[in-house]
Amino acid sequence: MKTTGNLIEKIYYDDDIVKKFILATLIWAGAAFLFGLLAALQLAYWPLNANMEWITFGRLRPLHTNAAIFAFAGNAIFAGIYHSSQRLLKARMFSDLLSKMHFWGWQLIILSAAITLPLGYSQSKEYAELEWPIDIAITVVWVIFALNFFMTIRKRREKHMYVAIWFYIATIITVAVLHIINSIEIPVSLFKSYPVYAGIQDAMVQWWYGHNAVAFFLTTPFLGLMYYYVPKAANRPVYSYRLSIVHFWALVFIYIWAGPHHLLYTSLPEWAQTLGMIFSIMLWAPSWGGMINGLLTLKGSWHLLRTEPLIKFFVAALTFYGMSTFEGPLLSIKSVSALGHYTDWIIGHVHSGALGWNGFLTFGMIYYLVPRLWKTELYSKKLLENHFWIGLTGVLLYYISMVVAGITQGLMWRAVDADGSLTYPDFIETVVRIVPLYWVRAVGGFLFLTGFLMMCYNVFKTIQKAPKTVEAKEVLVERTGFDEVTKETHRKLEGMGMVFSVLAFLAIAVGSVIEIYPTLSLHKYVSPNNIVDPYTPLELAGRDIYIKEGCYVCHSQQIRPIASEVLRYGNASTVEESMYDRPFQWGSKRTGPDLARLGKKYPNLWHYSHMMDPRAVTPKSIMPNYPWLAEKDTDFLVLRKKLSVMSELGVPYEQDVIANADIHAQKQAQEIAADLESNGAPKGLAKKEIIALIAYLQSLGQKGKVQ
Amino acid sequence: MNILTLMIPMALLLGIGFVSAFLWATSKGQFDDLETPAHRILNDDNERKHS
Amino acid sequence: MNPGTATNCSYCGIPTQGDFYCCRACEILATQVKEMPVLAVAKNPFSYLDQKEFRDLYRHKNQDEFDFLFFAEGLHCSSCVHLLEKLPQFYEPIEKARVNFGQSTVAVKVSDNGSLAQTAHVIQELGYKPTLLSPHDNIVEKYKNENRSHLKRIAVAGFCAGNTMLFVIPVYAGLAGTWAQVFNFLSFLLFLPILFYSAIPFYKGAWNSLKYQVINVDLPITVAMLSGFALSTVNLVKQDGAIYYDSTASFIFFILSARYLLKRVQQNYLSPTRVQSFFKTEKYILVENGEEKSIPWSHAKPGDLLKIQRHQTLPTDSVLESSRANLDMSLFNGESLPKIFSEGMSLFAGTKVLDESVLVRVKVPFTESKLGVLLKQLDQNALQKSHFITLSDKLAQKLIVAVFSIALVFFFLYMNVNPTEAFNRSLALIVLACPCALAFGSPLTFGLALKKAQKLGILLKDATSLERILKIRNVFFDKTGTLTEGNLQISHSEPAEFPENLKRAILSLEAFSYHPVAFALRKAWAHTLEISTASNVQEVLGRGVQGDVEGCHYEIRHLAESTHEVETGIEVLKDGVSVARLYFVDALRADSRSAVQNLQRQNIRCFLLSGDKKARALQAAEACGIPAENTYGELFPEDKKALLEKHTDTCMIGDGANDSLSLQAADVGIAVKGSVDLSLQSADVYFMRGGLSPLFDLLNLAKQTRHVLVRNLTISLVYNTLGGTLALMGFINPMMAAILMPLSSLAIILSSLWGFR
Repeated sequence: MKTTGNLIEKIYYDDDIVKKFILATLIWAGAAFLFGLLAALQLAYWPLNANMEWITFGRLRPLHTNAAIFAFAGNAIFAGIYHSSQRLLKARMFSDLLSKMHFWGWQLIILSAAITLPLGYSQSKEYAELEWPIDIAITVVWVIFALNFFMTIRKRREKHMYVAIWFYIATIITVAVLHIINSIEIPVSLFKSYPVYAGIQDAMVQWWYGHNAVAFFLTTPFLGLMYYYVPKAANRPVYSYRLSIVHFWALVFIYIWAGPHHLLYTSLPEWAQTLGMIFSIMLWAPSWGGMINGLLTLKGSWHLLRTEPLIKFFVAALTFYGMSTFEGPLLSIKSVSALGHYTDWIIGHVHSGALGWNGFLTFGMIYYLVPRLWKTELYSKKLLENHFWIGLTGVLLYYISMVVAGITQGLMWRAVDADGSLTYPDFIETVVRIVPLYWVRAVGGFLFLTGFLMMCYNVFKTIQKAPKTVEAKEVLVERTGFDEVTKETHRKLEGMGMVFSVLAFLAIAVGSVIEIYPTLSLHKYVSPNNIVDPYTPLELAGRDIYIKEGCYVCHSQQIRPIASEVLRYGNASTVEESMYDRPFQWGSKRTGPDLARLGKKYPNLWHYSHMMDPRAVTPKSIMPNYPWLAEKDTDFLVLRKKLSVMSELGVPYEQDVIANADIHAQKQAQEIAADLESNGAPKGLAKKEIIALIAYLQSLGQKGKVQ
Repeated sequence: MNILTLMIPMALLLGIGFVSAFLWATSKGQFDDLETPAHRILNDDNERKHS
Repeated sequence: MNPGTATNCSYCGIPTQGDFYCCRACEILATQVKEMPVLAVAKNPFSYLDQKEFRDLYRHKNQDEFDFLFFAEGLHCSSCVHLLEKLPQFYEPIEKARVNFGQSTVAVKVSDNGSLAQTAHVIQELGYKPTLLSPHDNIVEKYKNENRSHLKRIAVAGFCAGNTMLFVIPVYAGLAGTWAQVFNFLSFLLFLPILFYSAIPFYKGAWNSLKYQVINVDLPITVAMLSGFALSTVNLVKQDGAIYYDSTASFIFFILSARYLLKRVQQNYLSPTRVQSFFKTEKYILVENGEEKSIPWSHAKPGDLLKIQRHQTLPTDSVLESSRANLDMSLFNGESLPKIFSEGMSLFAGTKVLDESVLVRVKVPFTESKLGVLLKQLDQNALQKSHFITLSDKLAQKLIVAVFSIALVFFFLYMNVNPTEAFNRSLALIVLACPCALAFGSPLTFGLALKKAQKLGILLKDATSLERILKIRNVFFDKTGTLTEGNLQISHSEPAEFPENLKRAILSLEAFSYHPVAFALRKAWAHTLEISTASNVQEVLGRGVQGDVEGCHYEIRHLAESTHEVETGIEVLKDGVSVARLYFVDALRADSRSAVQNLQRQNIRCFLLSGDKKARALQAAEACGIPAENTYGELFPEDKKALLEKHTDTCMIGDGANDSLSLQAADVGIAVKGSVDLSLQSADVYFMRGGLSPLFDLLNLAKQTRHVLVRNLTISLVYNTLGGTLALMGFINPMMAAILMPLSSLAIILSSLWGFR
């Protein structure tokens, strides 16, 4: 090949960074799946909580979700983006240094998550549990990534930006905005902070974030990857490029308002719920546009399923994507949500998407990339096939078992006898009924993990037999895709300008919020009759323990205005009741009963016994033991700082209470400890965390001035 | 629902940002040819099949 | 590789039938992407392209990204895209190459010292037939800005409509108080980009409507939109009453989108693949001071002496300077039999030279040539047809008038009862009863119809012909190439069977002849592969040919037309003795007779108009079943047109420039495959498949289209009546409007899609 012409140059893509991200993906996938399997088994067989605070379900679940989303999916996305973007833009990444900083920064973040979450440092906001120092680290690393990516676009040689690039752009920008807005918090100590939002506001922001995180972290980047890897693997152009453009822009113009569908029937205003429902339903169309496009790309090439088996993974992924994006809008319909919310159906929905769509697409992509990056053939196609079938079986078992469990739960919860009383008045009855399904789900997860391990082995053997030293393959490209000479300086300015605009935008966003937050108190919008009292210092301490132990993972605190629910738990929750809650604890799952009106329902001793060994009060309970709560001391001193921060955020604490928070707390603790002692509990518990927790639990639903 | 004072401008800003991106892209001719790009991506030097 | 075993292309992997590579592109990509040797100027058939006149003619000066645009025939797959975009690697001076797959073009940027001829040569070597497109031919460029602009308006409208919905839904769902006011205000703000930007095309259309006093559908759309906006804004300010921003925004978005679809489908017909410039890259040899040089077609001036090569078309009207010339006159009379001209006679632009080379002196510039004048006439007449008002437009007009009248009447009647309500309801009526379903249903229907037609091998210049064709009462057929195959076939011979050596001898003599008789013989006796070389071949133009083959002297004489009116005949003499006679006819197409009979069964009168001899015309007419009194021969193009204009509801089916006037004059002009590109300028319809059967596909499609249109009209009428009644009764609130409008739009979309499934 003649390459001496100065109009054609040789460039080399940075595939090293792709290899790194792939290996990271595999490692963290293993962790995420293992944590998931453990969690699943813990639900089926509670002793697996092993009385160890670091791996109790409440602390394990956020570890699992963060590992799955940020460690597994995150690294997979980065691997795919770095690999495909360079080729689509016909340019090497802008800065190898930034690439490396991105990579190592991200892994450090994951590591810090792996350390802090088991220790209980959590904000209890789903998929945003990591505490404030890590939130800042995420922002920094994300900016590095964004800078690297956008500057690569700037220096591209291929003028047309393929649709996948647009998906990546949407991901990067939107995730940045979401993360920043949802992470605005006031630190109390190195690993504790309070969000500026409270109660319903926090709920709105959290689920605006939460749903759009699913959209822009688990959907758009994967759609971008799909639009690159499926055509490449099949060697066919996308079925309709036009359609991909249309559905991308449709998605991006209207996705942002589906968030409220996580809050249906809560105390979120009716109109907001309706809005969420309608937009969620509208979103079904552009989502299926993507699925149809992907599947039809294989039209006429179905023989490839035989000759290029990794395509099976793509086909399955797209099918699960279609299923999930249909089920999602379905679940957004209020009446369906009334049945499915808080149940395992939602878990089923999540996992068919996460395992089926994200998981399988990633696996397909890895099977595609590894042989090519290491310049060799895949070690065993047979093993790949087995992986596929075993993994698929796993996903299906998982999904079916959880949908059945969820619908069972939903139906049982709302079942009412002829005389108008609950058919299953004891929550535990509904738990017991579905435990067998938890076993099935665990089997499903185990199969999924097994398949994955096959892939790891396959990849390992493939890399092993790869040639040790490989000459980097140069790519011949035209020297420039644009009129470089005249536009050189202009482009530089534009490039910087763009970066600056993005940064400026973020700055403005943060600035506006900081200005707005003082006005975020609810006082103007709550009925003066329904105003509640703030938590006492001890109750606040107990609340933070509740958060630390991840109680919200299994218990909700939001009674919906549904007849059977009101029968079971008491009056529907009002907006005012959570008006000082930072963060809100409405919860999204009821593995155990709702706790919104738990206060004063049971005596203190009941709570003590329950926390030490749930089976003492509920024989069939699957809740873990929490013995360390009786051993660890409550941090009373920090309560001063905590209340002062709360006060800054608008909670009406009196000066005296703030200044002497620890003393007030200790006093209240003594009372509770004394009460416990007199009823047969051990002595000397006053300083222990269990007391604070009990104080909090007894306050639930009891803070209203008017009952 | 004070939070709307934040969320609405945010959502609109983001939306307007994306519309602007679309308008810019149209001016730059990104949507003039919506057939060839699908073919173009299939041909990278690095990943050609071996016989 | 064993043929028949399932194998895959070694390069791209698609299944092949035992071949190593699926196509040349893959083969080259796999094996030999490297610099191609520069072909010597003398050997390069494209050498003339490097002359300044040609380079200037084809250079796209207004483009940054490329200099020259090639139409690359044969471009069909991803590998082709890849291969062509690697042009810089085959020839260094090519700086960039960019393919447009849909247009089958490759745009190249060639450095100043690079050879355009070598570029074309390389493209050809890679397996694609290159044709340069001048800036004038760049259809993509022509519509680029308009399309971009339209797309931007759609995007803004879509965004605003979507987000307006975002703000009105909460209010529908019960939000009240300050937030409701804020949301309403926001939906007002979001409507403004539509008002001031996206809706501009409607304002222009409405303005034209008023200016030319023709009611078109843009007028009511504009009025409805402005009314909706006005009403909503008034109510917003009053903080009481309905606001309609979302439904108004949505219908603007839908209509803009439907129109865009239709526009893009229509534009595809005018892409370089369809309208190929008649003279393309023809270069002509100019003889000046004894020297020969190549000039482009456009450079031929009066007084120039040109040396026209075999098969070249004359660039303009000229005078014959050589002693004799045989010309193919099919452009004018549709006849393939050549005509003889002698020195001093006038020759016409567009006719084809059949001799080796002929000297002519240019008489007039192209614009003044017979063909040039014809083209100009066509251009002028074209405007007339565009005044045809479609059924939907007619109905729209009626509907508009009705709605406005009702609204006005209602307003005056109700004004005394309750002025605010009267105002609200009247405006609501106008907003709702806006014929937007019509406005958006018709473009959609037509767009889908055009697409389907294309799949059937029928190109329609615009969709109104679909309505006109259903009204046809008189069909006029051209003969040669339309009813007949357009080439000669052996009809009978004396003797009936020929010995092989005689066939061989005849073929050997006719081996280099381009006379239609020679073609017919070659086609009929194609199995006779081995031909001997003839020696001493002498061709007497127009009379025949003679020569020696295998030791015998053969002579082939053309029988005089005067004695053989209907058939063309030749006589073969061997060593002076007549041994055979062959007669040729231009055979009827297989489906001609059935087509004519089919039409006549539907009470459509059929006519035959031909430039050929009357006897031949009558013979063809009889074979088809066209009555003799409807048959005309020896017609000039003007005569055909005159005859046609004596009737109404006419359809002309023809071929050749001699039909272009009639094609245009007829209510529906159909150009049949095999005809000259020129026909496309004048015809409304073009059949890509051979034969007349597409005619019935066209009629069925027209019926289908009407069916869908009627259905859509019914839907919109029902919707309008229902909505209008509810509006006047005061039951319409914004939510109802927001539901009804998209519902009716959706119904129309589905009805249209279903109709063309």
